[in-house]
Amino acid sequence: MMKTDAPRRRFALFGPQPRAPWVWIMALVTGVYLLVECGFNSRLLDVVGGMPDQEAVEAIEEIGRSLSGIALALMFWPWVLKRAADKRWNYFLTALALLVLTIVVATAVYRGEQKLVDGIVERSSAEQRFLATNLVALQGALVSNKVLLDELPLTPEQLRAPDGKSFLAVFPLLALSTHELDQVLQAQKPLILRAMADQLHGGESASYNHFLTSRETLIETYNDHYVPASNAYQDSLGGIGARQDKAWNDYLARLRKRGVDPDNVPPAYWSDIRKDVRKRGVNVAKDWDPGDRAGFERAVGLSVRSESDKRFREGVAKHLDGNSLPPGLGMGAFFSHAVVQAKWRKSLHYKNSSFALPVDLPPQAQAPHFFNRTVYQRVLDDDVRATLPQYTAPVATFADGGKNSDLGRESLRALAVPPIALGFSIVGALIHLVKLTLFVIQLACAWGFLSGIVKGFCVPALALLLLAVFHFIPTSEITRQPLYDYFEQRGAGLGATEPNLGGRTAMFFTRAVIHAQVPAYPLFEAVRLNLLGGYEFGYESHQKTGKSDANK
Amino acid sequence: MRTNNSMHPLLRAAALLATLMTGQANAGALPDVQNVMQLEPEGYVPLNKITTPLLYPVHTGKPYNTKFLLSIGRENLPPDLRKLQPDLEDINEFRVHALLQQFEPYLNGRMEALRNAKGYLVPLQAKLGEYDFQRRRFPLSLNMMVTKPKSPDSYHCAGAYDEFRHTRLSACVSATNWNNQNKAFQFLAIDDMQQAEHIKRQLLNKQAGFYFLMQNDGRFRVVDNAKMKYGGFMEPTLASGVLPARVIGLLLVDHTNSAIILAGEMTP
Repeated sequence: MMKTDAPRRRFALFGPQPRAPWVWIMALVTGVYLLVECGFNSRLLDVVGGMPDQEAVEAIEEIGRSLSGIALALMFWPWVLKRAADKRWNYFLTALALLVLTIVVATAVYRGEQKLVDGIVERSSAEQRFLATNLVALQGALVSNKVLLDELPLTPEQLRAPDGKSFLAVFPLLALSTHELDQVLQAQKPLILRAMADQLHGGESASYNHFLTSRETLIETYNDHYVPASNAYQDSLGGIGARQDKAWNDYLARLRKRGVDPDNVPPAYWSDIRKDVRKRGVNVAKDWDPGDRAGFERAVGLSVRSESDKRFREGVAKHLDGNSLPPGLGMGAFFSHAVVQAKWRKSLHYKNSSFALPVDLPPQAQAPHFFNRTVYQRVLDDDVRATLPQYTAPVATFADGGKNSDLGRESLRALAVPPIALGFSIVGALIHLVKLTLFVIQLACAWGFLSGIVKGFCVPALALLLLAVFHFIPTSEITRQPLYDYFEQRGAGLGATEPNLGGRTAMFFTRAVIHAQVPAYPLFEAVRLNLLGGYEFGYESHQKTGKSDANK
Repeated sequence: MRTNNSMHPLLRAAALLATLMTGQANAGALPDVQNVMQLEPEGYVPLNKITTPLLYPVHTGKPYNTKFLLSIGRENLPPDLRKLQPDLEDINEFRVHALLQQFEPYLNGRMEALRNAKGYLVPLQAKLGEYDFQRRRFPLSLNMMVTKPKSPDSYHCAGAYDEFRHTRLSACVSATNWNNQNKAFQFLAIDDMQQAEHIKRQLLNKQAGFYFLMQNDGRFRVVDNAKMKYGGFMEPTLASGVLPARVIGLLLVDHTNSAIILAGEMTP
């Protein structure tokens, strides 16, 4: 029996495998990891399918890199656990080995992914940065649905669907290879930038709500903080006379206790008396005569005034980004003050505008239209006016050391990070799905891969195969559009006229990812919301909604 | 400073200038008087133990301790008031109060004079060296009443307007254009040996004395630190203020009749 079985097993991939305790551990850990990865993947799609700002990109990128690192580390856990079982390591040693392994591998992967993105950004040409800048703007315009692509019109519903989000995530990469892209976009840039600005502000309706919220917050600041502080200031000034009398009488009492009268103090002791008086908060002049009541009262008045000023300024500054206002302003003067206006605009992210925002609004029915006409459209105009010169600047300005170099780099990063993060996330999820399946089989049937090395090759291959299957399952309308075909043809050459293996592979899996997300996203989102408690993975919802921070 | 016993004091002053002040003329700076008693009507107030401390209340408007001022400055009071001064030590405060009323007109007059003063007659400490028979002159070393340690500067300080913690309080006058290193007034030139001998004898017997004639040269400065302390252990005194004044001339005054024996003008 043994003679007949031995040759067969030598060439077999699968064979009997024990239901060792480490398999249980790995099944459990892999399952937990998979849940986290699924949740992250759904959140990542929300981020990359929108128009993330740099902060959001960096936040999600960091978590993505960490998860990828942990994913790869988990691949090596079975090797450590088997070794621990063979060598009879105690729990502490085993845990320590796993910890060290995880830290080393996760750090290496984290750094590696960082280097990968940095390398793409650093090696990019001025032209790539220029195109990336415009494509990121176009991506934003598409998200806002204020711009439509010929031969690939996307409805708002499509853009909110998983395949739409996936498409938006990879759109800049797809479009990067478009022939004479800049010429195609040139005439539309003001429209694109306006749409991007609209998207950044969250749209007209959301902006109106933010405007109202921030206006109410400022009215609250006026009523609850500014007016009480101003009244306290006025009261304090009104009490100067009483404070002066009290301070002078206290001073006299102190002198008389020492047996002297202000007029009889020898000048030799004047500096000591000045010091003592100053120590008690009355900042008399350096040549003050201890018998000079007027000078003393003037100093008390100044102290009270300066104390009241300080208290008023600090009280108000807390609510006005460290700036202050003069006391006694009426509501109209308060709202039209440059400091309040600047804070208000800042809270609404109207960074390119400098006009005064209105505090008085017409009746409720006309207010949204009034806001749109007098505020929002002007803000968009200002944004376009401010940004257009950058987006139409000569390509050379995007080269290293050029004035638009930083914008180009940021745009390229914003362009590269989402697809890379999405790719790693999907591959990681699929690999661990395959692994979990294998662990479950081993636990259920006592069967598994006979060779760890073979398993190491087969698991990623199976994961990619699984993803590849989705390429052929047309779950999305988007990939059937003529423009998508054009993008695929251009992308297959990775910018060159002739297709190449790398380009073809990238386009093959890009389509697969868009198809795969259609069934995967709802499942992953359900996992995130129900099993992970709606964890945001560093990307707060209000980041995208542009929620007002006037109350901060 | 050079004189001639046959000359009128002012003529002698001219002679002094001609010989000692390197020939520089300062015509009109010294008042045309023969007796120091004639100086006050000209606006020059003699500074003594009454008037010197009163500079402080005059220039600051601060009160002063009348009883203490009179006690320390008794010797400079007019004879009638000098007689009354010891009665101020009476234990009957009503009597003391009534007595003080009698001093008031005099003190008010002194303060008024100081307030309107153009200048001051300031007594000096003088050391006359041995007569130089070849050059016919005495070496002369002058100092004001209070010398500043390790410095050629000196101040005129006298009397006290009040007392604080066993320390007298007074005021001083400083010379803005003179100290004992100044080349002016380093010699007293007298051609006539008999007159020279007579003057020396008068000085030794305190029958004559040197005086600066000074003019106001700035605002009264309150000294708000304890750096201007003098009088040593026995009579510790703090200067509460200093009045800057410019020396315009030197006078040698006969104490017996207040006549000006010699006068010399200060060069700029």
